[in-house]
This record gives sequence, C-alpha cells and structure tokens, in this order.
Amino acid sequence: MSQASDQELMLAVKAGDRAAFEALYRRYRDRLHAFLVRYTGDPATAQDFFQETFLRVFRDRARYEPRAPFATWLFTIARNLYLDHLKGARRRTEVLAGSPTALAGISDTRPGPLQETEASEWRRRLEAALAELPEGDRAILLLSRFEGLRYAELAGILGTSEGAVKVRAHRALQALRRGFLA
Amino acid sequence: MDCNDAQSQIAAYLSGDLAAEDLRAVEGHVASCEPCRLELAAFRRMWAALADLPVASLDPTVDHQILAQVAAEVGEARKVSSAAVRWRGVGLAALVAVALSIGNSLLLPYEVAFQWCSRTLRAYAPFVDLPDSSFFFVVGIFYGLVPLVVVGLLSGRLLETRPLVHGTAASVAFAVLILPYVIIVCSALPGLFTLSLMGGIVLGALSGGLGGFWAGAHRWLPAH
Repeated sequence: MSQASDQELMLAVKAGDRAAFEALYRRYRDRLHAFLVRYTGDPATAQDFFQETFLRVFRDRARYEPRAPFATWLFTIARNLYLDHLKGARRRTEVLAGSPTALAGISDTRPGPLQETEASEWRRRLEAALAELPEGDRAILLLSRFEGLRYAELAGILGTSEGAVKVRAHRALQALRRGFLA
Repeated sequence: MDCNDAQSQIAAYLSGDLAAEDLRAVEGHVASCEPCRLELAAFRRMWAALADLPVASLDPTVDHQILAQVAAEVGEARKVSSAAVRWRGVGLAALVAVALSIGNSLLLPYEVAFQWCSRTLRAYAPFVDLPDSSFFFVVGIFYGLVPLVVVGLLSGRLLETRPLVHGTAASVAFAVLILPYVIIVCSALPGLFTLSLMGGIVLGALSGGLGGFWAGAHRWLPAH
C-alpha cells in the first residue's frame, strides 16, 4: 500500500477502500496541516479546515479524476473550503489584515520580547508579512515554496492563467520582502 | 537581459519555474551584476527562512476523529448498499414468482382448474349453491399462493431481515406484474370471473408472500 502512487490510492479510495484513504491521509497529513497553519495564520482554524478537507476528500471521492495530481486536488479543496468560510463568516478583513489574534497560536509558543533572538525576530516579521499578503498570493507562495507545485498547477488551483500566477508570485515575493524588512 | 528583467524573474527562479533559456539568461546576468547578485542572495535567504516558520503540531486526536468518521461513513455506505441488494432480491423473487405462476397456468389452465375445482367442491353440501365466480376465486388463491410460498421460503432464508415487509412488497409486485397476463388469458371469460380470479391471486400472493418470507427468515427451511 505504501508503494502505491497517490493516483492508485485515490482510485482505491474511490472504490471504497478505507485502508487506501488512511495511507493517503498519513502521506499528506503533515504537509496539509503545515500549509493550512501558514495559510490561515491560525492553528485552531487550520485544524478545523484540515479535518474538513480530508473528510471532503473522502466524501467527494467519486468526483476525483486521476488526470490531475492528487496533491493539486487536495490543496484546491483546502483552499476552496477556506475561501467559502471567509465569504460566509465575513472574517476576510480580520484574517487578511493579519490581526494579532490571527497569529496568536504561533506567537504563544515563542519566548517573550526580552528573550527574543534575532532569528525569532526574523520569523515574527516573516509571519506578519505572510499574513498581510492577499489570500491568493499567499496560497501561491506557500504552495510553490513548500509543495513544489508548478505555476501551471497553481493556475489550475486558482482558476487563472499561468502568466497571472507568475505575476502574482513575483508580486507576493516583493511584498513579503517589503514586510520582512519593515 | 537587464536588471529589471532579471529581478522580475526571481520568484520563478527560486521556485524552479523558469524555462531553461530564461534560467540561463538570469544566471548569466546575475553572474555579471553585483546589485542583482546581492538582491538574489537576499531573496534566497528569505525563501529559505520561510521553512523556519514554526508550525504548531496537529492534535493527535484529530487523526482518530477523521479516520473514525470515515470508517463510520464506509459502514453506512455498506448498509445502504446491502439494503439496495435486498430490494433487488425482493424484485427478483417477484419476477420468479410471476414465472412460476405463468408456468402453472400453462400446465394447468385457469379454466381447467376451475372445472376440476367446482366439480370437486360441489360434491360437498356447503358448496353446492356457490356461484361459479367463487371457484375462480379459489383457483386464483392457488395460482398466487404456491409461487409466493416457494420463492418466499428461499428468499426469506437468504434475506433474513424484515420478512413481513419484503413478503408484502414481493406479493404486491407479483400481483401488479401478473395482472396484464391474467387479463389477456381471461379475455374470453365474463368480467366477474376475471375479477374473482385476480382477487384470489392477490389474496393467495399476500398470504404466500408473508408466510413464505416469514418462515424462510425463521429458518423453517433446512440450510442447503
């Protein structure tokens, strides 16, 4: 089971194979969770969407088409669920503005200001800069950086062109650096 | 390639999204341009620093919750699936019962059965004055009861659960399916006779279906 490709596992899930689902879950558990924590900026929110995403993967298994990589499908589901949540709960302003509470779960684990090392100060600035990126740009940056998704795949996830993704990736990187240096 | 072109390609360069030709052009420019080399180095550090961002670990109970939920949904799907199989079994039982009943009527036509029935029963005092339609009703019971008892005993044993519901459903389906055949075969008979025959078939089918499925589900039939 562990040697099977993502597509093979997902096709088995589609046929109702619970063990295949568990194998895929173990394979993507940490990656999806890390993405959601960085993407939402809030560990508790990330955990909720993590659960919802995997349950949606299982419930929508009949819709899976092996033409696209499983990872693309998984991250598309995660992003769409979060976007729906933002629209429905009118939390867009709070989260995209990178309010202090949005990063509270991460900040709590850090030492206090007096003990902060230079490295942790960098991380704090980077987190804040990341949280201030527009949602789509943040998704592009994180999926490109951590998931190694190509611009063509990101275009599929965001429903835009590869050229537009390239422009947004450049814009996101510039904005991140500005925030990082601020 | 000038500095603006090179710097606009940095994101694609870092993520490995540059085509070979563009990659060579960027690297060629950076090799000969000190400001762009420093700029790229700064972006590289930031790109690398992203990996150092702390990520709170996932609550381990989430694993159990998700996998348990999926297991529950798989179990639910199987239940639905087995219910669908059961209803297909009931449908098949009704079809087999129709075939048996038609087979009966071909071997022993309704009118022949009626003549034998009326002659035999009218030998006894209580039945002498009964109208002919009564005997068609009795004949109908036979043509409905026998096939439903046979398929009910077998199907009830296989399906095991809800024998009264399955037996009723099979009997109703049987009656509906055989009705056109009875009407065609009895087209030359008076309407009252056909009606009596059909009434007997329905009563026989219901009795046979309920009894057969119930007895089958309670294992009155030896396992084979």
